[in-house]
Amino acid sequence: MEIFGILWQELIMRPMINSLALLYQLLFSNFGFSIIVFTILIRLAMIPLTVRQTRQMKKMQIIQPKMKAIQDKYKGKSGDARRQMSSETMALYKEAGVSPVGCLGPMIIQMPIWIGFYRAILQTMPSTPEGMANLSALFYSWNPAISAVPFNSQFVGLSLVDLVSAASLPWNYVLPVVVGASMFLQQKMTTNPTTDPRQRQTNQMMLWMMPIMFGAFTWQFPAGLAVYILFSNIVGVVIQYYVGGKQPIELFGRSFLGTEQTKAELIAQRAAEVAGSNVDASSPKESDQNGQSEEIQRKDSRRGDRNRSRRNGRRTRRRRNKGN
Amino acid sequence: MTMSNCGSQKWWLRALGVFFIMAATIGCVNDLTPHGGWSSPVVSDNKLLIGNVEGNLVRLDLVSANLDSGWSYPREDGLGAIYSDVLVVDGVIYGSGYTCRGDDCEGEIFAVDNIDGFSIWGQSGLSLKTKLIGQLGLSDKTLLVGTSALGDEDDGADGYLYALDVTPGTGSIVKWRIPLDGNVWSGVVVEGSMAYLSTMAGTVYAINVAEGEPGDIVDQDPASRIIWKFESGNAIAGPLNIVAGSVYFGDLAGKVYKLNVLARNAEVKSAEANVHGEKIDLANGEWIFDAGAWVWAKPVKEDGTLFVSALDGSIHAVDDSTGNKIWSASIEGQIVSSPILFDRKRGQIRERALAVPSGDENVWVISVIDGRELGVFVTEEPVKSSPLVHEGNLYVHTLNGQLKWFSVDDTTQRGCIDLKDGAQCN
Repeated sequence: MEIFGILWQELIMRPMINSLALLYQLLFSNFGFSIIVFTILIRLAMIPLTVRQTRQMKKMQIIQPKMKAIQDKYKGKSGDARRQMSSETMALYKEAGVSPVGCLGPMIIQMPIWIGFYRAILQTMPSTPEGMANLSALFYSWNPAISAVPFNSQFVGLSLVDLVSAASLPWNYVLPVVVGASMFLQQKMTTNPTTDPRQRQTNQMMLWMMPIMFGAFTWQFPAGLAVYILFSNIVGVVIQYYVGGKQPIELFGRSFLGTEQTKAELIAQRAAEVAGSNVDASSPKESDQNGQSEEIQRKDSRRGDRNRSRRNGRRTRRRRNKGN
Repeated sequence: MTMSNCGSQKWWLRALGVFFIMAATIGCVNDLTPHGGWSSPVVSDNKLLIGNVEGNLVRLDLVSANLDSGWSYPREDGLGAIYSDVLVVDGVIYGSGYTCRGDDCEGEIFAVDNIDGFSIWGQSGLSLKTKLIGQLGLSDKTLLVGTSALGDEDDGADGYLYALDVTPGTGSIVKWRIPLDGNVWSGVVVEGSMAYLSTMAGTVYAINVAEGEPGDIVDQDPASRIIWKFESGNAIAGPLNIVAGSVYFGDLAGKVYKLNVLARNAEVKSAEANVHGEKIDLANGEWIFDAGAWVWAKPVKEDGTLFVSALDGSIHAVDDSTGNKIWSASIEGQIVSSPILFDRKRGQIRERALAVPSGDENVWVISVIDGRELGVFVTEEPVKSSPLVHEGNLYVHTLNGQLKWFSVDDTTQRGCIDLKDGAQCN
């Protein structure tokens, strides 16, 4: 376990603490600017992962009808049938170029960064003597910012190291709300429409629950971490907007941003919904998916026909043999 | 961070994951809670007094080598963390401790009867919503306490010097207080009618703490008690040491300063005005020494040599008259608390040595002549308090809350006691 502690310290904590400290010195001894610039740099560095995640999500979305078909096919079965289902699912992933880890990977990579950043904020601005003594051991010897300790934790009337709940009005209420709102926006942009009612229900649940949970937890976070999450979300929204093909953001029944083309797609989707089509939420994308679904069903049907004719052939041969 | 849909319909699993991460993150707020274990032992009347890691002041009987049962302040729950050593004057023990939950801090300055361990200021001491880290100072009947910013006041001051009246039977304890430009971690040093302290903003204050006549300007405006200030520009966390009219201290830029306080005080008297010095005066024998790493431990001076310890484990002997290095040595681990000078007997030879506590483990014995390592007191635990030598024993408070004592001469361990429950340990 000790090796993990060393790796965590050397690969996550020390680079983060030294970067924050260096940025503090470069950015007018302002820790708020240091956190914001650091957040932007981290999000920019993770753009390849974000792009990959978005692509994987789209592919996953496209094969969803096939997935559902496989699940329906083996519904209520166990044993060999379940194994068969797994292998068919994996084959489907392979065929579509989807890595099951592909869309979770970036999220998993973000976790240690996020937790590390939280700890880096606390450790860079320690409030206890032992914290201060530990900090000196975390600095690289070449880092000139070591002589600037303790860092000024004040930023626009906030103490970045203190809990948001202890911040003065209006920050103690505004920060959790703004963090929750930015998370909602980002969540909304990254959630793909789906034909599956259960999935849609899950998405709705996540869309509301995550921002509410984050907003509530922000209350007990140091303000510096809240600033990090806020700017991380804002940068995330901007990146998602461009990576996702400038899709309009639909809020409170109105669409914002987006290109004329993507807006037209959105209007078409809404029109289809209003028309009460039997096909759920038939957006252009989903129409494609439904098209694919039909294609799968046709293929399945053809495969079924082939299987039936094979079975009939075998029966005929058996009867003929019996007759002989 | 987004929790985007990846095809999984187990939303509750994702929610649970988020919840655990959040809970773990919030749990880390405990990093803001002080742990203590930095309090050094103090001996008075064959009793050793020390603040344990739970924030209780406890008393060890040096004859029986047991904690005095039932003698503790507070009697039950501790104050959180006691970083400073206690001050014992006329049978009264003065000290301070604090605890923080997140950024909500509760500090207490206490005055305890040495005999029965009860507070002499009523049920408890003076409560302040602040961190109390540094050593207290006493000038006549005035107890001087440096604080951090007060949680329940918003006057912009990052710290205060409190002057408390310790005259028995006094009604109001607080006599006056002076706002400062930073948290006081260094504690207060008293020399005559002057008190010296430093802040984490890098300022050294020289403050007149003499009793003022009623109606004096110093009573109406306590800030006028500031005689001079020196701004090093870097945080000063460690204690100041005043020896023969000079003050020695180190800062978190690795610089060690010698300031001639006699000359600075005299200059102020002749000018009859406050002087806010920012530069050292070479003509008055002042100098700056670069130790190369954060200096937190109090510099120790003897026979014209100043011994400076730094957080990177280096120890430097510096010529007091010139500020030039005589020798350097190093040990493993951080040196946070002050080394002490002591005599040890090796065979038939008596020699002077430095006992240097290491933040990794052990107390190292270093020769004052050339910095050679002469031996080691094996504590097997980190030490962030100063050792104490008393009647042939060296007492050490280890960071895990034990008090160990060793033979000064051969460094063998003679005893160990757990300061939380009084149990014997190895």
